[in-house]
Amino acid sequence: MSIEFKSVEHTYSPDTPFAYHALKGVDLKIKKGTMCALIGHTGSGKSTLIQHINALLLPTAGEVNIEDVIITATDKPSSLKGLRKKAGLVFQFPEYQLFEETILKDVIFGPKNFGATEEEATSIAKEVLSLVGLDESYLERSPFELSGGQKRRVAIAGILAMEPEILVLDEPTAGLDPQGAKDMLDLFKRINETGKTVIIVSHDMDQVLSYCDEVIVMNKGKVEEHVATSELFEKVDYLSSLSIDLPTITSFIHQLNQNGFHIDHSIKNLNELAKAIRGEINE
Amino acid sequence: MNNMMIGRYLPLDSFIHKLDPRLKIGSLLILLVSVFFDAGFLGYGILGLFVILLLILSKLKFSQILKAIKPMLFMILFLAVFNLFFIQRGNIVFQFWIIKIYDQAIIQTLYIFIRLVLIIMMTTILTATTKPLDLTLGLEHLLSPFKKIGFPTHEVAMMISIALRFIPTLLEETQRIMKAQASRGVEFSEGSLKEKILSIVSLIIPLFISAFQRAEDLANAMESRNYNPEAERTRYKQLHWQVSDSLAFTCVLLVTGTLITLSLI
Repeated sequence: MSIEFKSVEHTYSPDTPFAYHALKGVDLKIKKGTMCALIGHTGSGKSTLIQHINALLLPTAGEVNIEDVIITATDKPSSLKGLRKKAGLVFQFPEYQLFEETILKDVIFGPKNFGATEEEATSIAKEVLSLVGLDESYLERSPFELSGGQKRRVAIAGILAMEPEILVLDEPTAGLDPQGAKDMLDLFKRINETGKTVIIVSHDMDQVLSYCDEVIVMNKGKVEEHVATSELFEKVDYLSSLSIDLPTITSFIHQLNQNGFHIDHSIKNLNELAKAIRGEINE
Repeated sequence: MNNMMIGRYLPLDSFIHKLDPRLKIGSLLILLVSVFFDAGFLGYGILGLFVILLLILSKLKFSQILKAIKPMLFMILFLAVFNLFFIQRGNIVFQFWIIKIYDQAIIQTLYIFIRLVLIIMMTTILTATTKPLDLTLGLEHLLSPFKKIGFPTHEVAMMISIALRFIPTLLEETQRIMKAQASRGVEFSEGSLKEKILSIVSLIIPLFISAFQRAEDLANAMESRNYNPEAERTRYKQLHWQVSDSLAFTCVLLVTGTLITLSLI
């Protein structure tokens, strides 16, 4: 088991007029090597939840177990560095975390903090930068002269360079153009295929359907559903009660079926859908 | 960072919260001056009781005031120690090697301690019971007589309200960047001096960049809505002086009057 939450509670600013109960008894298990989506409304507790994964926030009650590092309200390991290396967290708009003079220096900042030597870090940095699609000509450039999308790639490379076992991304494609978003998600899929656990917070159900194996639905500080992706999108009424849209393709199948077709809901891509429709028409 | 109490508004419903911001600012100025009258321990007793009364009326908890005093504790102690050793008047009460402590020094040190604590308490009561925007509005009203001599009252008030407006935003931003860098292995509270400096750099540079970016965005947004600082403007929110304000002001004047009388006799 990669990640395990046992009745985790989190309250912000407890005992003040600003107290806010953000997580209300979260139970969650995520297996190693899954690609998992985390969906839910703004304010449903997604960001609070993911910050528990690398102990930026500590539970106010309950227990969090990340790759056998156990954190409870009263007890945590004396240094959290080990955990932070295992679980890489990419915040929303991560381009705000860039600060070094050159891209190379910024990317090796993380690995060096975790004890890698300059040479080790540099060779990893070159590797991850080419993974995110930036060639060696970028190494010595300033991160501040890049475009928004490129800055984000550098920031994500900075986390990937730490070689985390778990990669958590908070809306990594927000504000990217469609091609940039697709490249980014393809990259996360490739990382997932090397055996790493990937968790993506997303509002784009098309992305969730085509890339993720499992979906966690959060609502009002609780995990309401944790199921396989295809299973979730069969619950049309439940999703509309949360005003979560269906993926385009699922919504299309749903409408076809309402008009007399009998097409499998779990179809994920256009080719299969076309085949299924042809099959139905020929019958 | 979440425990910052200085300058923070606490949304409670109390008598003090409802008072006119002009009155609160004016009273604070008067009380701040009266803290420095040498009215003896009796005078400080009266002022202290008055401030505690204000505290109770404003429904603030004593623990919240303690939180405001805590970050200043080092400065208070620093000043107190200096006074204790360097004032050389009155009789020696304690002597050790070259250190001589005089009775006047002890009294002055106590005074300074009391004064600073009172000042912090009073300013905290003002900021905790008055919304930042009301504060600026009050300030603008109080400064308006200076408009005649060409003082840019409105611009100053606008600058203050923008600055106040962005304090929580920048604090939030700071926290966000600290978290992002903590995810990259920075430990802000540990490590050698060199590591600490590097970790501060990793916080300050992104913070400055985003602050400049925000400033530019805000300036563009204001200009695109044709903001002109010199334009005559009316206000949706009007300040109304109530009977309770006059009453409160009388109390403040009474306390100050007593203190002045005590310091003269």
